[in-house]
Amino acid sequence: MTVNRRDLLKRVTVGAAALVALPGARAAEPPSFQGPHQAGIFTPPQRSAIFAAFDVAAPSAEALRQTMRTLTARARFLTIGGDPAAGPITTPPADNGVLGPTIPADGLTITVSVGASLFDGRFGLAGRKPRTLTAMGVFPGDALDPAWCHGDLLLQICADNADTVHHALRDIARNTRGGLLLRYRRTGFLSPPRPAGAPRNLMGFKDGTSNPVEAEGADLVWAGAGEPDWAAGGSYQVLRLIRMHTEFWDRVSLAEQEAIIGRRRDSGAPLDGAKELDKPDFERDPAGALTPLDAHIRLANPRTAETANGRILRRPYNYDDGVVPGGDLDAGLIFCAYQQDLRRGFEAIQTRLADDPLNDYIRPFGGGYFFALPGVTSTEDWYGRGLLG
Amino acid sequence: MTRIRIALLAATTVVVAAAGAFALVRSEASAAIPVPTEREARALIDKYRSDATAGISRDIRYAEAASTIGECADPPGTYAISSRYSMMPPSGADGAAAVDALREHWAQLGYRVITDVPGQNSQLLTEDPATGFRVGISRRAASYLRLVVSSPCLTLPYTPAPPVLPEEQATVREAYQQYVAGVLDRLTRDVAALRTAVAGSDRAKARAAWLTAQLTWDRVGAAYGSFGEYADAIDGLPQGLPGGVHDPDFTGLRRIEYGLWHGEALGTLRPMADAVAQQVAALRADLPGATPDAIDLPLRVHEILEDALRFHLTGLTDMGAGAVLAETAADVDATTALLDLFGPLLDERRPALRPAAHADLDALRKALRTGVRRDVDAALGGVLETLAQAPALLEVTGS
Ligand code: HEM
Repeated sequence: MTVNRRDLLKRVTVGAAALVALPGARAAEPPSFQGPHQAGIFTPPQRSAIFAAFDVAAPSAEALRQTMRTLTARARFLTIGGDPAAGPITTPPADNGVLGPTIPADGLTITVSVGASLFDGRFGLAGRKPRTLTAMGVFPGDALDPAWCHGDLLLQICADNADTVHHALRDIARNTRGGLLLRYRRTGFLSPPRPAGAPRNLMGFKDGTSNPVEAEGADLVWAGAGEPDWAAGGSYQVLRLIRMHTEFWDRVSLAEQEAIIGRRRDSGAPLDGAKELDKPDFERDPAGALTPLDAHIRLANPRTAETANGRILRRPYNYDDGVVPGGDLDAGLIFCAYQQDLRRGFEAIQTRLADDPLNDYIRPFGGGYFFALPGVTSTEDWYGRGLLG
Repeated sequence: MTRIRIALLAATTVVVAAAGAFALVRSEASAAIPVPTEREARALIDKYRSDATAGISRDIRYAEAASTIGECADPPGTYAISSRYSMMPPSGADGAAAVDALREHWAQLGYRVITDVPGQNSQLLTEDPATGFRVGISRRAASYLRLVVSSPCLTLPYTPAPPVLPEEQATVREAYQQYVAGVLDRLTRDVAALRTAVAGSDRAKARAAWLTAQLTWDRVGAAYGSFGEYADAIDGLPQGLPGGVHDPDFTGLRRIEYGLWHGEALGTLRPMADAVAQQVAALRADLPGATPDAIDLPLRVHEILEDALRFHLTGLTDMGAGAVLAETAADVDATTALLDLFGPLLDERRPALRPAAHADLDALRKALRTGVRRDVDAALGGVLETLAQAPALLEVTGS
């Protein structure tokens, strides 16, 4: 039985590796502002988030550069924290006061990404576009609302508390006024472990259990061969705003919910396992006796050699926002994922998910494709210097 | 649009007449063991299954899985939950090795042997004294293993419904198919009238003919991509197509609606009406094959109106006619028909359900007639909660 014991060992190791990446786990060190990669990608997800898309209104490449420098300075200050600049009491205060007199870091990360539209003629960037960056297309089942799609720039603002992300967005919007114009934004939250493991999404299932770990970044997440030089250290980011038909979902039996996702709702265990971090073994279940062939996790990650390099880093948040016409809740998922290649990553998965029974319970209505810029590496550096400078 | 909600045998739990169905007749319950709840029992079943399969060769694959709830004779009113997993060893030797490995493994864990019949058709059944769960492995033939896990007798906070027999399901499917055939015959006439109308020059008449045909199609109850490609061709939607309403793949009744309400010349809609007529004829001819599987039909009892909620009342299907309330009323008709096809089976299992559903459906009809949107939304939400109780009562026995 040596083969099996080795297999068991492998399972244990993978489980341990995955544990490190579980969202909700508090980082020992506060996320660092400087580095080859931006914070907010492999950073364990904080509890609160705003995804804010902007149109760039800056009239020239030089004005855009200035805007990006300002954005960098604000992000650097906000993520490190401290006392806001003081001015005469007779002028409007420099800070909005939402976080009190001294700004706490509060685990804040600000991740800046650019959309395909930034590479049109306006700023002379047409030849510098990341290799697979396009505008997001339409997938079967989508009901996209143009007001909730695309954008020149996307900010992913995450922190431990909701007031901190609000404060940061408001501060940045104010300081870049004239250069950046808000296009749309969604506020998201991540639940605490209930009672343990990955946080639950609003369908009641643990979400974030299976994700690449940071050591796999070079193979799966960070921009790879064939990209323009300036892009090194960046990553493709997909944003999908997905409404859930929570009322309908609640009218479906537990057995069916679990068959649709491919995991147990209570524990988060895969249907062929017993614990959340057990690794599904689809090869052993070729007919889908335990995990249906079209279960969400099985379509999303068939765990085959051919699909291994198409895995993506998901960093989703729940949203819960009001009422849709008809009286149902407007609630769902802000799906956010990072990957090395949009075609190999998100698009390949989304194409397999065309037959996902989960589609009946969700309706994507917005989002876009973006490229998360390389990190800011020194005190002189600024977001997009390699691209614009 | 492929919207297929599949009822899976793997996920199906059915009630069998007695827990003894898997030769797991239980001795009297050991007094000291705490009895788990149903959820705990299901989690433990997963744990025993995982533990057992981790100890045997990975080349032994799952072929089938089923879960049942069986009534215990003693004490009466308690139930045992059992899951059985058919597994395929690549050879007889692998199967025999697996049985030996598990015998040793379970002995090491201190499980008590209940039965251990050696040989070609070996049977090994053990009990974990700590929980009262039983786990067993049997060989039926050289390349067939069956792993069984069953809980001790436990009380359930509800009375499990007896399973519907496959032949009872088949009868309902047959009756539904006949219902659909009747509706399609009408649709054939309605689409012929629509073709004539778009060949003329009276837009109001063409619009009326479209509405008649659309409502007849809605009465089929084609929720959830039942009737698959036919349904897509007959009333597919533009959402999800790259070109939206201008996409060349946007065809069918919805496309005709779009044209009729967006000033397109009637003549340009003629080929589309012809194509719909062809699709309806093709579906009518292929009906025995195209009708949803019997196992999916119980879900349609609430899904037809779930579709009305997700598509009509959100405006996704409205291509200009503003007929969402009339279309929802047609969905009510289809739901009523299907509900009554399941009538005797439902009445037997939960006599109060069908009268409650009919009352809710009547309330919805009334709200649709008065057209007050608030009342429609409220009544639809209400009836859906009632109808969602039906599918669980209508599950079939596993193989
Ligand atoms: C509202 C929409 C969605 C819901 C409710 C949802 C839910 C889930 C859940 C519960 C899991 C299992 C837990 C886990 O491993 O994190 C999961 C896994 C996953 N989902 Fe989704 N998901 C949604 C949309 C998407 C989309 C749009 C994609 C990508 C195109 C996607 C890709 C994945 C992947 C790659 C996994 C991991 C599979 C694995 O490695 O086992 N999901 N999702």
